[in-house]
Parts: sequence; structure tokens; C-alpha cells
Amino acid sequence: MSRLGAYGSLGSTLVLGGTVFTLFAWLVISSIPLMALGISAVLVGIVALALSRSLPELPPEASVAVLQTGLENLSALVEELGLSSGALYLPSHLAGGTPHALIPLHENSAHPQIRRALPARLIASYGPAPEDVGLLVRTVGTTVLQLAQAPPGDSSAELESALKAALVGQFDLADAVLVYRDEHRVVVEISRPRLRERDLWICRSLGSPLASIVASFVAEGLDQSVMVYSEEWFPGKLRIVLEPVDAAV
Amino acid sequence: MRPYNRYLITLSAVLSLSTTVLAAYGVRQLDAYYSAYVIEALIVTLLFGYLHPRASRALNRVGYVLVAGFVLVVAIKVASILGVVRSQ
Repeated sequence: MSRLGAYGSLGSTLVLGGTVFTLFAWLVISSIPLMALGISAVLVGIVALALSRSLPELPPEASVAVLQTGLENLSALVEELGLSSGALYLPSHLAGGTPHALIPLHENSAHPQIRRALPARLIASYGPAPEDVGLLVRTVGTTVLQLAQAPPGDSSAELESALKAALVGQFDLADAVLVYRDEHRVVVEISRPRLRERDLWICRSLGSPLASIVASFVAEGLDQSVMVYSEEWFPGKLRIVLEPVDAAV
Repeated sequence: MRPYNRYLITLSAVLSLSTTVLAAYGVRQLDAYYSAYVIEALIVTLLFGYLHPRASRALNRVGYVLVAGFVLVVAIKVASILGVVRSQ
């Protein structure tokens, strides 16, 4: 039985059973509390029916297939190029209108300094030096951010609210999200993450898909480039530390 | 669909609890139970405001119907106080 059918069946059963129970409590045993219990069952049934009509049209398995294919293709490309440098997540105003991630072709200790909006092309030059070239790619976070209900704000509470709405409510990828900031970093803790893909080559640059989503939200919220500083997996929890990178446009 | 399950379980638990408490206090007015249910349903829906937008819209529509019922209950109560209809 599909999940859509499960909620529908549950709702129908509760509405029907609750109505019969209410009538029985009213006409046969004349008990107000039991009538009320029946009415509450009808209420829950109506809510379940309402929820059954609002389930996503695309089955989760189809979404996973699309995500996996995209990630593996990108991973193969990056692996062929031998790239493993950490990606810089750019807010939309620095990346042609949509948030992107920049993977520098050359590894060095300095973070790339993006001083102008980059053209939305796969291979982008981001600095004056000849080696300042990188791959400008859309990530899972790009798409999730575009589907989000509202753009994230720059405070911890606003970031947490936006991430919770997306990861917990809209995409059901986690149970809870906590965001806090110290002087230089943004820390995001995700409880019971359900997207665990982290073994692909591309994850060396972009981080896991969840880290990618979080980094895109934080970059957009702060309107500043960010890098995934660290990503730690604990039992039932993922802790992502992001480091904003100063950028002057 | 874990958030939807959590929502349904929370709503069911809250409604069952309030039914038990009101019954234990000997409440015999059906409108009192209904009013409590409506308020609780609205509060639980508010707490789960992060649900998918489609679900939120559907729950809002259910909320409108419940509030309409609540207004009707209040109207009947006011009418009974004013003597327009006979109080039960």
C-alpha cells in the first residue's frame, strides 16, 4: 500500500469509525465523553485525509535516483580532473543569480577571494592570476534553496528556521536542526540525518549533500561566500562547521 | 513522511488527553469538548508550521472549518444566554 493510500485509508477509517462510535455513544449509551471521543476521532480522520492529498507527487525513490545520477556524473567529472580542493559556496549575487559552488582547479592554502560576480559558466575565472580558474557548479543546495518557501535571513534564528522548514518540513531529510554562531564560524547540528551519501569523490570538495544544502543556505543568508570547514558524523547527529570567507564585490 | 506521522500522533495524543481530563472533571457539555479540540488542533498545527506548504494549506483549510464550527457553538451559547434558543 502506498503512503498516499495509507493516510487516505487511516482518515476514512477514523471518520467512518468515529461517526459510528459517536452515534452509538449518543443513541445507545447516552455518554457525552464517549461522544466527544468519537468526534475527536473524526477530527483526526479529517486531518489525515487532508494530509493524504498534500503528499509529494514524486515518489522519494525517484528523487533519490535523480540525485544519485547527478552526483555520480559530477563526481566522475571532478575525479577525472583530479580535483579535491574545498569548494567555496557563493551566494546568488556572486554567481549569476543562483547560488553555486566554486571548486578551484589549483589547491593552495589561501581561500579564493571572489571580488566580482562570476558568469554562470562551468569553467569560471575568479581572479587575475592565470591559475585562478575553477569549476562553478550547481549543487543539491542550489536546487533546495530555489524550492525553499522563503529565503534565509542572516541571524542564527532565521537560518535555523529556514533550514528547519526545508530539511525537516519540506524534504523530510532530518528530525531537527540547530544553528549557532561563534565569532568566525557557523555551526549547524542536524539530528537524525537521513541523507547519508558521503563516499563519492565529489564529497571531498563539496562535502556531503546535507553539508552542501546547509552551506548554500548559510551563504545565501549571510550573503557571503562560505566553505565547509568540517563535517562530523555522530550516532544520530551530523555537525557541520562552516567558515564564512570575506569577499568584496 | 515522518513529520506528518508526528503531527497526527501529537494531535491524537493531545485530543485523547483533553477528553480524559474533561471527562474526569465531569464535564457534560459537548460544546466544551469541541471548543477544547478546536483550540488544541489550532495550537498543534501552529507548532508544526514547518510542514510542507501543501500540507500547511490543507491544514489551514481544516482549521477554517473547525473555527467556523467553533463560532457556531459560541453563537448557539450566546443565543441560549439571551433566551433566543432553549439551553440544554
